Amino acid sequence: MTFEEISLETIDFENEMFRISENLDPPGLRASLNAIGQLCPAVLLSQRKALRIICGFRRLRALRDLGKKTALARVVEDESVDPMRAFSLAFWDNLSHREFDPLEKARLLSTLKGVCGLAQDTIVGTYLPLLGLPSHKNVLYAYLSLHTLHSALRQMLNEGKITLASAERLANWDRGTQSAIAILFEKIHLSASLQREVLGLIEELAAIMEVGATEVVGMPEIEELLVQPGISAHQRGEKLRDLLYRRRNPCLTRATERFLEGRKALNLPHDVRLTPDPFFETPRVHVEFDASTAERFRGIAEAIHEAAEGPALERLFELI
Amino acid sequence: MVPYQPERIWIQKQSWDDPLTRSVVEKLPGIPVRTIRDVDELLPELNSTSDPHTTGKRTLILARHLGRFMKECPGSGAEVCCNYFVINYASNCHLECSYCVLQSYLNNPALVVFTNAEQLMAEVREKLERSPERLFRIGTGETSDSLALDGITGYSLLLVPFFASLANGVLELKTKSDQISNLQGLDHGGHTVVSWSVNSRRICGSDELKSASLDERLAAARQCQEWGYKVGLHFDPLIHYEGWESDYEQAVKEIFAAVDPNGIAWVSLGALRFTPHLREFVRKRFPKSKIPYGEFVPGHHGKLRYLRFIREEMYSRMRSWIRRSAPQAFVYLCMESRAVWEKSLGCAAPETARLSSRMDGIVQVK
Repeated sequence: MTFEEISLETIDFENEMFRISENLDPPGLRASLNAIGQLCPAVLLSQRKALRIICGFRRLRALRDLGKKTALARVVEDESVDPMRAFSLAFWDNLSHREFDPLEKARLLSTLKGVCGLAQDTIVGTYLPLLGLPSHKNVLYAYLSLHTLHSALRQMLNEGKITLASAERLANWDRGTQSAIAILFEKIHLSASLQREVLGLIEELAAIMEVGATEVVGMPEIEELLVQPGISAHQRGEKLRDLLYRRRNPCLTRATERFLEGRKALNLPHDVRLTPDPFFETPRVHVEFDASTAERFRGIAEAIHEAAEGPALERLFELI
Repeated sequence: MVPYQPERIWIQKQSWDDPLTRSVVEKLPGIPVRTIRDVDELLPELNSTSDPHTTGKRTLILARHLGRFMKECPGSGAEVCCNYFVINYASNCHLECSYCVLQSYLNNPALVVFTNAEQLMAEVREKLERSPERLFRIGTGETSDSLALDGITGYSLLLVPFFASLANGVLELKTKSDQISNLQGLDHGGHTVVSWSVNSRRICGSDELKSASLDERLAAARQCQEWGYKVGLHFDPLIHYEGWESDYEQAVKEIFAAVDPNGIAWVSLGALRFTPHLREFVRKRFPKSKIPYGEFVPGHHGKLRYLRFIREEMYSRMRSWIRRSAPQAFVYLCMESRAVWEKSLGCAAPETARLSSRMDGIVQVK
């Protein structure tokens, strides 16, 4: 095995056939190279007079950006080397010293399937476990879809703004919708569970309204919400969820509003909690209050008694 | 109805000794037959396919049922219950209704017909003879359609005369098919009710894919009435969608114009019930179906149901349309609470015993 000083000008940086890294400009790498120089040689494939990068995309980019003219590399000179053999070098080299993030796993699996032409069973049986993933074809499908994710969403996933589950779900949506969701999610903050709920609501509303998800997120109420002043991204996310939920469940929303109006008409003290059966499944109501003194207890009891005497109570039960 | 045509028949070794097995094989000439040891032998192969529930039904398995055939209806234990029993002569159905619970309920997605019919009948006879004072209404439509496979299995040829011989048993054959030819000329003695699960034309067309059309079902029902059978109607599952009111009103009108209201045993109403798991199945297997997008809320035992107000409105309006066409028809709700009975049907919900005895009285075989 020999290493050579290679002119950076002779390297084909555009060819990313064997790329695994998602982030090509990791913080610190340039500073490291600047301080102590290149410690590990890159691996290049010499084919048809061009030098393709097998391992070392980030190092070589950083050296180029630092204005270096050459880099230390091992050149694989075999004209007939097949993509799988070349990619194996990149795979095992990376696997030996670092963990892959989900998008890198997706890229890697996509290369194994699309570029190297590896059989699905081999990928599922051999490579998924090596990547720490369950050995199942559905996992492979999910990661292959993830590889096609819109660039803005890829960035959000890397930055932790969306969960892997959300990214996998969004990867199955069309590009236009992915773009619309990326714009929407830039303006709001959603916890992992709210992401799941909001994406589910968008999907269901699209099916109900017989439109695309893009039309759902483009509804005027949502547009208004996104420019509403004085609320945080977190509050905006919760309001978005509420808006979608009300739209998805109009009867339940109306029933809840009716109940709240009926409850208000009873004029009960604020420390009396009057709640309906979950989802109004029965016409029962649940009454609960706290009192820290006998006097307060008597006061609440009198208020409840007064409410019980008035017509508003009958109306409340008629409503539910 | 799209008739059932398996691609292969797998027969459990012991089933070759049952007459029903030979009869089924003779009715399906040219279809490859293989003898197996266990009904679950197919599972590894099916589970490796992308949709085991579609591919599974292409294999007809003839096997002996282990354990008891006769069970209480899963609705037993509801606040108001009709005290119904079920016997499972088969497991699975080829009719491909999008909302079918069997998709998420059965462990084996193949279509299995149980060949130990003699054992089934012996068990039913023994159970009924032990309680001669009560009437048993027993259906075969829980884990399969009662008649969709009848052209192949001929089960009705065994069960209808068998029930006629029982002093205290009534058989309900519940179907979405029009496979009634075996019923002609059978001595049913008033002990068999043939029931159709019916729906609006829109739902029959969009979500009951291989079932008989509404017209075919009604023609079959009318024919059964002419052969002296009482007919049951089950508006179950009622589906809530935009425009349901006019569609169901029209369906009720057409149904009661097609069948003789005086020859109707009972009419049940039941709004769609779903498990969250089943809902996902439907979304995957039937992407065009709108059913999973109804306004469901979680209810008892984790089942999803339409909001109570929706159910009450549907039942109430259905009842008034049915009353208009068939004032004497006995209408009851399936798996609903006392409160829903009272609000939707405008009367106090009967006690379980009273509902049961009312239905027993309709069939009048005691």
